[in-house]
Amino acid sequence: MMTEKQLTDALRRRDEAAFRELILRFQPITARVIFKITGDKEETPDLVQEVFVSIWEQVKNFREEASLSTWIYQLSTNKARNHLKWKKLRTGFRLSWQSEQAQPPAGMNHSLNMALEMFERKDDENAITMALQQLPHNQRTAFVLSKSEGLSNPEIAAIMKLSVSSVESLNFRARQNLVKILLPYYNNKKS
Amino acid sequence: MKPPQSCPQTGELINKLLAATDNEAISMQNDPHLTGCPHCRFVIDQLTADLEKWQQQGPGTIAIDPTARIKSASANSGKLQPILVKVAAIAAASVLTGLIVSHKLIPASGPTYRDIAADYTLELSTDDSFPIDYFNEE
Ligand SMILES: [Zn+2]
Repeated sequence: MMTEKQLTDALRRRDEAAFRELILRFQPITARVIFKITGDKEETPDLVQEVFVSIWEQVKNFREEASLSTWIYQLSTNKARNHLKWKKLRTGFRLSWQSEQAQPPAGMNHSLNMALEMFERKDDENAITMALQQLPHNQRTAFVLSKSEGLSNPEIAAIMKLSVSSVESLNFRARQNLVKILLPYYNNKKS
Repeated sequence: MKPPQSCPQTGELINKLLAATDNEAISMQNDPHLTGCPHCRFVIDQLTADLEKWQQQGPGTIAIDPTARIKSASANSGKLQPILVKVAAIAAASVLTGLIVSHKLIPASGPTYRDIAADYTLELSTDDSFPIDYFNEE
């Protein structure tokens, strides 16, 4: 098995065998991260594919200040973020159009209610997946990289291009928000 | 339906489990509060199971073949070169044909002496309008 350095060099030489090895090695990580951040099973394969095409296209410009895996995590989290931005834009447009016909009740904790509604609708879905969808993108990314990928705060800081203390605080706020969403869910489940 | 049960410590325990490493999560199972509080025990057991399921969760088997995409991209960039060569060849041929045609069919460099002479040949026998006074201008 090639080292990350050998793999990078081979990719720069446009070695297709190296590209296949890269896919074999990094596809599970990329798919896991994108799926967990977006929660979008249908779109994940396309997004994963786009990440690998980006690697192939951009590897010439990849400066080895970070490791190859850090760079792939960066591309994956960025791809997920851009997908969500685009999706939000489309959904926002649709919601603003719909809201002309049906305004949500004033003072309603909209996002929490939406989360609970989703739990009810999709009982087979995992509670964590559903709760994570209610978190701001950076909190969600930090949580996924930490809890699912088992990365350390300095590693996450390198991927997200943040300071270690910012990552700590993102994870702290992510947990606080998850408690707010999960506590009523599990309390209701018990009853 | 039973009324919702709760315990003031559940939230704190959820937070603790979310922050825990795998080993810490295992040792949390022996937390003294959990052994005495069935509600928190239920919630923490549920959350532990959900977290484990979530960690193992992926998009399922995904069949992607980005090699096809990069091959078609390289094939397209490979196709571009012959196209550019063709375009250049056609342009060069057009210029060359233009030069030959212009050299053969169009008088080389403006009207020749012969042309001008022919144009202005005076047919004195027929042309009465020759401005004779022109020559006599004083
Ligand atoms: Zn309790």
